[in-house]
Parts: sequence; C-alpha cells; structure tokens
Amino acid sequence: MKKETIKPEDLKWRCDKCGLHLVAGKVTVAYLGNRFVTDLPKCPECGRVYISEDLATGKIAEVEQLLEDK
Amino acid sequence: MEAFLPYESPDLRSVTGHTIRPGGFTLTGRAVEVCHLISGARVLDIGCGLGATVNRLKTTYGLKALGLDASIRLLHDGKDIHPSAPLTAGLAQQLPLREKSFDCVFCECVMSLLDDPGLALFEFARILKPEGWLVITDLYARRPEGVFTLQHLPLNSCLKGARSRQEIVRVVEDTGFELFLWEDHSDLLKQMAARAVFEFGSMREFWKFFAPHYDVSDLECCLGEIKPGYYLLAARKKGGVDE
Repeated sequence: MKKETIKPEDLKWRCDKCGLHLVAGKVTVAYLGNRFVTDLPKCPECGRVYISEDLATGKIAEVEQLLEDK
Repeated sequence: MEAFLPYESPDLRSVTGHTIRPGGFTLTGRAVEVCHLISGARVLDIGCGLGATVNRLKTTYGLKALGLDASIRLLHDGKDIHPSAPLTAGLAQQLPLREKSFDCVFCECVMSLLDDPGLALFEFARILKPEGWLVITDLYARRPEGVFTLQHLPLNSCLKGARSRQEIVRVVEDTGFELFLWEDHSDLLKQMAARAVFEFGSMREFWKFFAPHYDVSDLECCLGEIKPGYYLLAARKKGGVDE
C-alpha cells in the first residue's frame, strides 16, 4: 500500500547546477544519528535532492517527531 | 475467515525487508558477537519467517542453523526466496526437537506474538545444551503503566504482547536462564517507523492498513502511554538445569 513520495510534477524540476531533470533515486535520510533509505527526486549527476513543501511539512515533519522520541 | 496476520503481509516487507522486524540483521550480528558463536555451532531460529536469518547465519557465520515457524504461508514464500535454508513448521511452545541439541536459540521479534512466552522459554531451555545461549530481540514497553490497556485491545499485533523490561527479565530468569545482557535498541524501531511513514504516507495510515477494523485514535493513545522500545537480550541456560 505504498504512498508515492515522488509525484510526476517533482520530476519536471531541473537541477540548477547541472541542468538535468531530476530522477527518482535511492536517498539515505539521516537525522539525529538515525538513517534510513527511501526514494526521492534527485539530480542524476550531482545527487542533490529535492524536498517539496508537502513532503517537508508532511512526512518529514512526522519522521522528525518520531526520531526525536516525542 | 482467516485472521489477518500483519507479519504475513508482503506490504509490511516494504518497510522491514525480508527479516520482518526492526533493524534487519543489525542485532543478529550483535548477538553472534556477544555469544561468541563459532562456525559449526547449532542454532535454532524461532519464528524464522521467510528464512532470511537462517540464511544469514549459515552463509555469513558458518553456523548450522535451522528455522522453525508456525506460519505455513511464510514458510512457503521463504522456499522461493531462500531455497537452501532449512526451515520447518512448528510451534515455539512445543518444539519437535531433541533435548540438549542446540548451542543457541534465536527468537527475534517473536516473543510478543506468543500467547504463553513462559511455556516457549521452558521449551527453549529443554532443547539447549547446558550453558547454551538464548537471544531475544523484541518490542517492550518503556513506560509499563500503559501495558494493561494495551493487553485488552482487540488487536492482532506484536504491540499487544509488549511488556516491561522487568517482566521480560523475570520470566526469562524464572524459566532456567541467567541474564547476560540487556541492551536498548529503540533507535531501530524508530527508524522502521520512519520507513513506514514514507511507505504509507503517515503512521496513522500504516495503522489503518494493518488494523483496519480498529479505532486508530485509541491505539495511538495507548502507544503514547507505553512508549514502545526495542531490546536485545542474551541469556545462558543455567548449567545443570534440565527440563
């Protein structure tokens, strides 16, 4: 029952440094000494990751709370 | 109608991988190190599921590992994933194995699912050689005050079996074991929960999927009370203790 983290419109972004369209790729997310891997839009050249506002205020905000043990 | 068992669901594996527990092989490796298990040692993996741990113990550490599980579904799926892992069907409370025949019993993320952990522990003691090792990893209640409420939830989940550290250690010691080590590894549970948020959209959506007939608000409230954690316990069968 996977909820897609990556929306089609996320991949329309280009990396400002490399000029390439973002692609879905494995990203290691690290916070407070915890690490896990998930799929996020990233530049295929330099690896820079795009975090949408929805993602930041939704899943990432919830994960921060979980990892902060609140 | 068959009861829905979350740990049998392929959707859970999108969060946990084939080990179907927090941390993957992290605590398996830690336990092998703590118990100084050497190549050729006989190990029984209780609740082996798909056979991932049995395969790991054999291929990485050269151990003579055998897996046992009550879930025919998982054993069947495991045959395709780890075809050379020796797995067999059985119940932890009634092991179809000779006494004093194993050097170590692994029981990773299983005890909280058992109706009678004490009975299972007596069986583990029976099949272990004197001073043989017991390794348990599982959920526990970091705040024991909420355990009573959790126990009475109509929920089919390992969370329902989460107990306090004190109660877990007591039952292990009462069944013929001497505690060697207790380590908190709640960070692994938190990391698994973080994966669940990304896979399912939120923890609320995760609970709604795995407990569809249940009021998630009640469950969230209970979880807040008990503050679930994850532990590694290692113990040795007391020398001279028989069935």
